[in-house]
Amino acid sequence: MSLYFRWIWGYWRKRLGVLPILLFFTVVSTAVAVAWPLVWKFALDAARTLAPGRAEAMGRVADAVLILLLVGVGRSVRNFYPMMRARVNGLFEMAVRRDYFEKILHKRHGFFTKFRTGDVVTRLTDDISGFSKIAWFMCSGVFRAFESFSGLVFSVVAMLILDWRLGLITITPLPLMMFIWYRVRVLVEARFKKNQAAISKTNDLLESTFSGIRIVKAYNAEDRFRKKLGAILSGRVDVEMDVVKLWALLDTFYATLSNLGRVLAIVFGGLWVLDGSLTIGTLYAIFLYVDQLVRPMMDIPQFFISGKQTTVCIDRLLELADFEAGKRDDDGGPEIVTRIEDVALRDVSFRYDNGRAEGALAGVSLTVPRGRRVAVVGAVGCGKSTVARILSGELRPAAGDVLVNGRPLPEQDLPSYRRRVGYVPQEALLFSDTVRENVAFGRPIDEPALREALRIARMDAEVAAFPKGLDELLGRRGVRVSGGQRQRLAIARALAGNPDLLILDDVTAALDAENEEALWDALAGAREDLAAVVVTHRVATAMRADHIVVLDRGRMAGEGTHEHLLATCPPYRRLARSPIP
Amino acid sequence: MNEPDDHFEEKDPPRPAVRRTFRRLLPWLRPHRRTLLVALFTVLVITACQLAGPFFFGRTVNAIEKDLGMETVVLLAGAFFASFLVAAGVGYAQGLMLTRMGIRVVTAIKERVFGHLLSLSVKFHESNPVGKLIARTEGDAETVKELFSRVAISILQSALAFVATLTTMLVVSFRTSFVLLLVLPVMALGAAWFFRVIRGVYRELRRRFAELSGMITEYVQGVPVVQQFDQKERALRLLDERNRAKFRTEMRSWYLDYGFWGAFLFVEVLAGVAILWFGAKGILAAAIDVGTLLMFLEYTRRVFEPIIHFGEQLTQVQRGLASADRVFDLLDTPPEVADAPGAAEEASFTREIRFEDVSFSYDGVDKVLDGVSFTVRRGERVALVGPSGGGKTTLVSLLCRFLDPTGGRVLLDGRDLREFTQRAWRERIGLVLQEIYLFPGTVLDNLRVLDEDVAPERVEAAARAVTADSFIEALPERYGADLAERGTNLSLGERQILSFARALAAEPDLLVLDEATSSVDPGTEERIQVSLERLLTGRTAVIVAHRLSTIRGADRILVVRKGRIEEEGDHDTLLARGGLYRELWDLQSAGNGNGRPEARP
Ligand SMILES: Nc1ncnc2c1ncn2[C@@H]1O[C@H](COP(=O)(O)OP(=O)(O)OP(=O)(O)O)[C@@H](O)[C@H]1O
Ligand SMILES: Nc1ncnc2c1ncn2[C@@H]1O[C@H](COP(=O)(O)OP(=O)(O)OP(=O)(O)O)[C@@H](O)[C@H]1O
Ligand SMILES: [Mg+2]
Ligand SMILES: [Mg+2]
Repeated sequence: MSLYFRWIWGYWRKRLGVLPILLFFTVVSTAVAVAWPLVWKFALDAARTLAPGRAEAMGRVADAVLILLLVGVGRSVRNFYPMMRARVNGLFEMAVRRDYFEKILHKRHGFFTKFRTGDVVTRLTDDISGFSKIAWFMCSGVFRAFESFSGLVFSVVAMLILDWRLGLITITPLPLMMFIWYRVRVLVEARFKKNQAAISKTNDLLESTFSGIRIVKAYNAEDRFRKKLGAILSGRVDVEMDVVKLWALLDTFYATLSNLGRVLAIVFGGLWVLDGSLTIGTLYAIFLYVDQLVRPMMDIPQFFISGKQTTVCIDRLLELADFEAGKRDDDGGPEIVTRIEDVALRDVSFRYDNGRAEGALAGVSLTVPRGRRVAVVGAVGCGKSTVARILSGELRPAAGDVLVNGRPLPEQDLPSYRRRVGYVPQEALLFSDTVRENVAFGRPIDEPALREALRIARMDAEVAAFPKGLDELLGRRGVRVSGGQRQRLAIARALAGNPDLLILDDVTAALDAENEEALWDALAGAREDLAAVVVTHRVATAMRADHIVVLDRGRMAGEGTHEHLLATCPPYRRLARSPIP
Repeated sequence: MNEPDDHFEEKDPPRPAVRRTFRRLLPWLRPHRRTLLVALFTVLVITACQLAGPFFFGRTVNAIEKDLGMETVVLLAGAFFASFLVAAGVGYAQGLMLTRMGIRVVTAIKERVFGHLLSLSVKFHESNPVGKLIARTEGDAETVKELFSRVAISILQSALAFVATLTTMLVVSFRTSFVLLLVLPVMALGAAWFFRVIRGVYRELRRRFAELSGMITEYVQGVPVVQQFDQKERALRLLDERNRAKFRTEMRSWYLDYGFWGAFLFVEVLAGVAILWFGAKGILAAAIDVGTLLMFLEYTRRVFEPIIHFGEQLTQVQRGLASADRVFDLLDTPPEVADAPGAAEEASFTREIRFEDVSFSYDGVDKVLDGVSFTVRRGERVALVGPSGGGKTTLVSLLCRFLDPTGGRVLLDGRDLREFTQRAWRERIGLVLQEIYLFPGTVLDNLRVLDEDVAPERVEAAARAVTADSFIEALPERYGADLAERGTNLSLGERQILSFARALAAEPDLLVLDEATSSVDPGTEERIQVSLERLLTGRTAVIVAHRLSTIRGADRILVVRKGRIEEEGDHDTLLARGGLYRELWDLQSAGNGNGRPEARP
């Protein structure tokens, strides 16, 4: 409990400025709630003194009318209270979403194989902004309950003062309500958890289906995916109904109880009016009070219910945050890397969390000095991309060292290292934004540098041919350009930062021979001292390197020049002798 | 207004009339007629109870006033409570019934939207961020739910209660309630304006929300890239932007909402005051008694209660309608590639596929393909090669009918592909895409694309043919192993091999391979080719490859450049010709390990 309390307080602490306003509204609201019936009592008692022909009594009615109008204004003003709350809800919503989005931006690789996009997005949207979920609860939930509680207390006090007997009678159902709430709160939690999980599951399916739409269509799988969605959705009907039933039951119960209060008020009040110990005005006032109490009595249990829902949602966010908590993608030392002279792997091993037991890499060493080009070759799944990702700083070795300028990378500032690295992953991922934004990618890169990067990547002519040139919009994941163009844009993006070390993971898979040839020439011509790691399947590409590293099932099978490896390394020979260059 | 176009929601399309939206919503309720009928009946019961309530209340007060004795008072008060009890019980049952119906309807809507999205063209999908589409399918439909479950009925209930109360008041005393009649039209006008405005705001809000989820989806998937380029700040800035846009629109909706109802509440006060004033005068003139005045005050409250309730509900309705509009906009977007009426359900590929003077343009201006003609005969192996961006993948998309040509025709055995259903034609095809995609789920489900009719043995045979068995066997649960999103717990080459196996498992007549072995090492590719030789007998294949050695054995090679076919012929012919193909071949084999590319058969 205190965990959630602290969590919520953490956000409130930064927004204490709105508290006075909210408190002011609470006071207004309570005052109006208490005054409203009293004014009516006054008015009615005034009306009671009326009798045919007694015109002077109208004076008191006129007073009553004035007071009524005044309190009426207060009632309208009170209506701005929920508006204020909605605003604060919105502020919290933004703050929470930002915080957790930021946490996700700092997650390491393992997070993204564990959690699926649809699920994460659900937690960042629906869980935060849905009604009676996190943001709503943090302000509206709390302050509505507070408003209600304050109204309730003062109304009860007013009732007791007006007529303590009647007051007591009408509030008898109150404890019963609290008790009922107490009994059902566990149910709420379990059902609600299931509900949110079902929403996540739906969104996961939607995400993967839309992303793979070509495959769905090519394999005529539309109906099968529809069925899959149907199954998830029909499962949701019952889960959702469970939640609704609970709500409806509480609703009805509470409404009935409060009506019971009203009836009691009339009967007993009526009797006392008859024996003269109560005025009709007081009776009406108490009646109004009881009426006004219905909403607070609903709001207070609502507070607890949505509180429970909120804890479920907070748990779901914390689950994201707590995954490898304390490990950020950019953890490292304070030393800024201003220039990469050389990079080396020393006896590096790596194992994916959910991967094979024997690991993806074992005892891999290589050195990339400035101005040199090192090729990494090997069969499918031998660990080349894993090496590239370790060099780029995306993955951290389980054992062994990554040395940058002769010093362990973890002792240096990772972002500054990354800024000096241009990494082109095997699968080029672009964003649905303009070409310019995709290549510059938020870095302060001027237009000539941008064009130069595009030129080296051999993408300049094609970009120039786009109707809007650099400002052409690419579709989601950059689908509006061809496979090779996407790859070349990713290369341009890597080059645009003017890196010291270039890591190219099998980029030539999507390039034609002409483009590939030109790319290597341009790279060689661009910067003498550029170091490069080139992962490739093509011997022709490997031969351009100064040094070749051969991997076989995660281990070093050999290294050296092309001729040396041909003579000494059987796996390399297999690669080179294949009729497929 | 609904062009089959991309980015269709960049601005909100004009708002259709409320009536039209409602009319379109009605068919969804048809399967639930019985429920609705029962609900209608419950509405009557509840309204009757609600009317009886104040009536008994007034009588009770009068009974007390006139000293009719304890028994009468208790009886009347009992009746008062009983009317509440009945209303509450019936209300509970009604609520559940309607909510269940609402959930059912919305489930149906979601399924329909999903189905429709699946039928929309690849082009539509690729220009709309996934997150936006999710927001449409899930989020908008959820908002529509409100319309069906509680709201519609309680509006009816409120309206009924309002009319009944008003009538009763008019009958009991015309003069006092006359005041109300003066106020109501003014309020109605105000409300009409309010609803029009707020619906637009809600629509904008839904759009903002979709943009926000679209952005989050894209960046959650792009985190590795964001980290690599140290652009977390930028991603956060973008989030802030989207967040704030949504916040602003949302606040606008609240300001409107509460501002309006605040003013409204004040009208209630005015009406109450007026009744008190005139009622008091009535008492002075001996026209009414205090009991009646009380009853009136209570009635006034009851007239306003449904109005306010009604108004709040109507606001909800606007919210629902705004989402319904968005849902219908989507459902109205016609699929760009659609089955023609009467299209053949069976397609047999017996002789040939012909591209006849085919042109294609994505944007209607730039021709990506320009007058392409060629024939693929049954049993042939045809290769498409050429520079990146030349139009090879576009040709493949046309072949699979992901796109329809903007000029010319694609003919299957002499008949236009458009004369067949998409399903009929695609049943003949096994496709490997250039952009590799695997679904989260088991390896087996991926290889047979959820088709349970495909026997696991067939899948395993296909996997063996492309050497996928070697790494599948190494997975903890082999074919039952779960793949991560997009299959990212495998190396890209492994994923590509799996997509290849998926195509083979479909046992197609026509195998379409767009760079199907680009990320595979030569050794593995060689082994795949050996088994492909065997598998391809009697089948036709269209193969796109940059690595020319992959397609050297093809019966015919088409060299595609800038949307045209520049050269056509087999490997030797093209080499001898000394054109673009020769140039590319020389470039690729220049650095080859054995140095003599042509020395091998
Ligand atoms: N969805 C799209 N919208 C607009 N233009 C597109 C789209 N997809 C591709 N293009 C353009 O059409 C042209 C041909 O693209 P296509 O994907 O067919 O090339 P490709 O020959 O397959 O190239 P690669 O070898 O690089 O895969 C390119 O100039 C590309 O920019
Ligand atoms: N996220 C992951 N979780 C678990 N295992 C993984 C993950 N990514 C890769 N692997 C496994 O680790 C091994 C090495 O993968 P890696 O991507 O480094 O291979 P690769 O040499 O780049 O192959 P390719 O030539 O296909 O690109 C493979 O067996 C692969 O299945
Ligand atoms: Mg790889
Ligand atoms: Mg292509």
